[in-house]
Amino acid sequence: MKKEPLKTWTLTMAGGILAILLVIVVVWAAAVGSVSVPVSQSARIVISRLPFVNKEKILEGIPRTNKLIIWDIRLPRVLLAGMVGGGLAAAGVVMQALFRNPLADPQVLGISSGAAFGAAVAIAFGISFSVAGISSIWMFAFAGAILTMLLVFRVARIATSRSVTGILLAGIACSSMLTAAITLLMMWNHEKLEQIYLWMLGSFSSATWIKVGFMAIVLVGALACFIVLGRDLDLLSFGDHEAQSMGVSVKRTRTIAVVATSLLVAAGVSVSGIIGFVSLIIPHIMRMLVGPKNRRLIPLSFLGGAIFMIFCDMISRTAVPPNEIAVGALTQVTGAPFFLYLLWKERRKGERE
Amino acid sequence: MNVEAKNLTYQPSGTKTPILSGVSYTFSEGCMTALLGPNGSGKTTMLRHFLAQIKSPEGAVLIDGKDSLSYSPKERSRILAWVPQNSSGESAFTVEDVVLMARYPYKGTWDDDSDEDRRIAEEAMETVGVLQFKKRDFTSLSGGERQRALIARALTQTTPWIFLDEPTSNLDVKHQIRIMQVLREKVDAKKTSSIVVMHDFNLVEKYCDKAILLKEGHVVAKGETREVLTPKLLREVYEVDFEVFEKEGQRFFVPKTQD
Repeated sequence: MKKEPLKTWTLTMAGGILAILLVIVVVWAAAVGSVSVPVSQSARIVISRLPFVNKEKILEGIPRTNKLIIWDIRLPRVLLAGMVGGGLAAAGVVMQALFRNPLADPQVLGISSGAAFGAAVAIAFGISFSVAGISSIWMFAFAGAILTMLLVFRVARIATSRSVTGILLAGIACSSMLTAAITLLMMWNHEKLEQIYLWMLGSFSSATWIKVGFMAIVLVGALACFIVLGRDLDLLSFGDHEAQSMGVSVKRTRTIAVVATSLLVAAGVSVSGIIGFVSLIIPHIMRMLVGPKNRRLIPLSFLGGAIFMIFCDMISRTAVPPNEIAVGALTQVTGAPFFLYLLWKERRKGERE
Repeated sequence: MNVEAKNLTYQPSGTKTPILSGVSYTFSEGCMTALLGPNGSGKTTMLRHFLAQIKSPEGAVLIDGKDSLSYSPKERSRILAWVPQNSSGESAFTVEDVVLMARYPYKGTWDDDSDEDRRIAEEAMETVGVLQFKKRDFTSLSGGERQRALIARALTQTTPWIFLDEPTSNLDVKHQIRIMQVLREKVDAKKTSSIVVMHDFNLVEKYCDKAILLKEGHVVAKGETREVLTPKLLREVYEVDFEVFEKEGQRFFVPKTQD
């Protein structure tokens, strides 16, 4: 039987190149900023934290301030951006498979708006405390995302026994309801308007190692679920009935996948704000490169999303010093036209055929 | 392995008349059985019970004497394969990918497609004539090509039973005959028994051993094809007069038009 060695080889290559690229981008992004640190120093600081490495020797001659800037300030931010970007892209792939719609993303399901609403409530009512490094805004955002998700599924199940359109419609309805509520909160609390608005635009400026750790736990769990369910998700693209007739436990697969994506998105949005289009564009590009099989698509989309987000965040904090551009606005500005271009190209291709 | 419908009754909530009422039938192994009846007579609803897509409040589908709902989807899919009328697949999977999906019930989470899987899929694509399309996107196929790919997929599932919902509805004459021939050969080789929803009595007469005639959710007739396909019963069920011609032992059914 012909085995197509070339294709497997290309895929491994693509994965390898992206992984190497990700490491390079992490080190590079950590070196760039208002205080410029040589890339070699940034690399050495990262390497020094690996196990079995002689710390003193490798850190020799690096100023203390540089160590502080790289390790305590920049790296958490870069890693958080990478994990949120990669996580959103992977969640996008799974949502598109679950809802059999290439345009499904966390925003459509209302999860992002839920997080934004939670954050807006905390900001507007001046609820400000912090437990073990976890701030109230972050907690409220996470709770908002989870509660919205529960509401959406509750409504959808009552309405049409968990059908695909039912969930999408419930998500859209909840999303616009919450957006309106946020607008009201902003109008009643004029002095907090800017802060709420800035939170919604998305930023990684408040990154800490605690956030990185929290995000990493959720991310690893969710990605593991996605990879295990990869083939089931392939079959689900033929609809529940066909998938079931070929042996997929549809209800179990859907439940696990939906819970894992929701938690991942909720975690991502709660630490960064609303960051659009990553979960739409990255999966779309990767699908064109490696095809629709989810087991390949999910890890590659994760890598692509991580690189893209770190890059965007780097631009957001270095383009107009000393100010920052909201990274969410940046992904929208670059993402939306690119998405339109993809659609246009696809349409041209369709016309030629 | 026996497959049996026992007192299947189905009435969606909020409707006045049931789609199926008290349908019982034991499908015999080693047979090709036609499921006949006008539109809306309950044929597809009956199939959906077998595929555990819907549940009858009183009745049940029994596989080997056990309620089919007590089997896991994976176990069930090693017994029953399904060819839907239309597929809802929309992703850019190739025909080969789609056909290979049917090997799912035989694989563990981390197993890749084996050489054996590929051989079975290749053979199935060959028999229904889609092998030359195997690298094309499934969604780029025409209706008839898609239908054949779905049949290849069901054959790749290598089940003792296969349920086909109007498998020839989009096919040209040559492929209609080819598909019926393939199914017949599988039955004769004692590999797969099939249940086929059909509207073409001439194909049923030529290829099917048995037939069930449904009307408004009731079984009007069941048994050998020859006993079920009679002008009298067809008139009763379809409200159309049929003329029957016989040539070399095979009967041909031609509807009489009003004028």
